[in-house]
Amino acid sequence: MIILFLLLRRKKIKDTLKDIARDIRCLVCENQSILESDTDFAINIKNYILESLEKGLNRNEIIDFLSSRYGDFILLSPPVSKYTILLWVLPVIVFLFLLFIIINNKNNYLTKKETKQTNIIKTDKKKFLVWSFLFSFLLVTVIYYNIGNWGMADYPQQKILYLDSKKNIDKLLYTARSWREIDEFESPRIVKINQQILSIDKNNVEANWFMAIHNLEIGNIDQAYKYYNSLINSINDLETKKVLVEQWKDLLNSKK
Amino acid sequence: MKYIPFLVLLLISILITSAMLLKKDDNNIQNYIIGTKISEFELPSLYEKDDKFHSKIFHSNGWKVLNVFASWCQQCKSEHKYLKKLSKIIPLYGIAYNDNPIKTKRFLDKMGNVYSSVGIDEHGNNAVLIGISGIPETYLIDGQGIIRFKYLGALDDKVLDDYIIPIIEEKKD
Repeated sequence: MIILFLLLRRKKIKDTLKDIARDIRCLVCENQSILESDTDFAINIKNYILESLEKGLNRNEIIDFLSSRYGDFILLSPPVSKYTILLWVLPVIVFLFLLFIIINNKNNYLTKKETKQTNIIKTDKKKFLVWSFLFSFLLVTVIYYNIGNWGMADYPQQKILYLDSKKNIDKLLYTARSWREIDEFESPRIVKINQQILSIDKNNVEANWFMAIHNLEIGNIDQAYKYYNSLINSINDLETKKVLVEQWKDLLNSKK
Repeated sequence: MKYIPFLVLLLISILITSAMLLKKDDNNIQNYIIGTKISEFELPSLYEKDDKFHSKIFHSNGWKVLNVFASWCQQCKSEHKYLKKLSKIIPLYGIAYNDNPIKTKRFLDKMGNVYSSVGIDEHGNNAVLIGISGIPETYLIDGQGIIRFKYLGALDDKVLDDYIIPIIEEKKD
């Protein structure tokens, strides 16, 4: 009974977390919500939300704190204030303006065409008004909605694919390599991606080699040897084995 | 009548372009946080093993600068000489964000330590409390712990001369 209660509570907290995370902008990636993002920044904010939900804070308190620390820009839908009033009123104005143009053009059109079938035209006019109203309303909503959600994609689904398939190891390796060109020291994101590669393929040579060197630099010699051993065991080619063993010895000597 | 929509579109585009061209604000200067108090946090200290890097130090003894950096961040290297310049005027405090302590130590040994004290936020747990989004970040904090200026990105001569040094000199008068 208690376990069930705890599980339900956990699920409720997770749902609220998703609900809030959907409305928070990831400041590092721009126009992506933190729910869809996996950067350090997004993870930090998600952790913060989770912690404060467990403490018992509600949605408004969390959002208030976040906007006091990062500004209103962190909210994906801006609050109504004197600075944003134009943003909220503009769609109504555009809608009325479009309606005005359409009705005006209709009158011009009628006067130019023949006026013999007046009955048909009268019913047509009514129909036209209704349709133009609906159409312009739809147009404005679609445009405005799209502007608001520019570039938002359904990332969580993609991510599951990304993690599961072994084909994507090349992709991950490529990102790790290109990040190593940008960051001179091994940054947390490179370490993270190499761990991800190892979770898919335990015997990946490049990732094992990287993790071995990384752990050696930090000072975790045991961990370093663990990665080094699994690397050496997975290689069948004697020549490359020799080269790697020598390089490893050089590295050990340079550390001493 | 025919041309009204085009004229309106033209007007709107001119308005938007002129607004973009006339905008002089530096995006890296974070105005919303100015005037708020720095939140309470406690981090392990890099050099003093028993001591903690507590946010209390910002609540007394005059103005201070808080700089957030990491050994893996390239821009932190390029702003280092400006931090050196700044450390002659005002005490500097550092937070190593998302960084391994050993690497941080190696980084500071190599570049030269300019900080009075360094706190380590190894996993970024306190980042949201402080308001860190991307490093490097520099905060100017007064004697009461109120944030008076925040800059996002690497410092340079322009930021120092235009913003930070004038603010510091103003409070001396």
